[in-house]
Amino acid sequence: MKRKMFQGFVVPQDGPLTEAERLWVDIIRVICFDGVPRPSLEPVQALRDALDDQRRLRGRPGS
Amino acid sequence: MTKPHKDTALARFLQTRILQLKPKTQAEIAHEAGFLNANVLSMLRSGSTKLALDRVPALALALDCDPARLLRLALGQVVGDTAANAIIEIMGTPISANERAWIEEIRNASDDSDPRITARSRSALRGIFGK
Repeated sequence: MKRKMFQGFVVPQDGPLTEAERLWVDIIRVICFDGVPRPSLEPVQALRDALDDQRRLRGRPGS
Repeated sequence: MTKPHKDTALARFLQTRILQLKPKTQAEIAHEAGFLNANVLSMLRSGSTKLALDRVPALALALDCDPARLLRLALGQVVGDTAANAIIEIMGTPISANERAWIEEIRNASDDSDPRITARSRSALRGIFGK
């Protein structure tokens, strides 16, 4: 589906965020004080690694 | 001259951002943002005037900054922080194209499992963004 854009904004109707996603955005905004950069290969790979680790830990007994 | 908006987050942001963009001049930024009078940018920076919401997209382009963030800051100036928070709570927070792209990456990387943010992932984000 093509996203509706208006001068750099994604319109609010473009799918609501979940509570968890809102928190991700909030944290990213705090960390990226100067503005959130566009995703690029290396950071995305690091994000995937972090989420894989999180998933593995969640799968552990007692976690 | 009175400076009713000098303590706002937007005035502070402009002070920092304009310095970061040097050698680009304030006159160039004002011109790119479509301000007929270059002094408007100085007035915004010093807090003697507030940013009109309809100027946000053009100024964000001229400042090369996140338009959603600038909109949040401008909203705080126009209606006050408490009212701005109420508006954002009701209408939904404006999210930039880059922020949306990161959410898409998180969805893809997590197989749409809607992962919670943990201390570990927060630390990973700091590493990813080099902070």
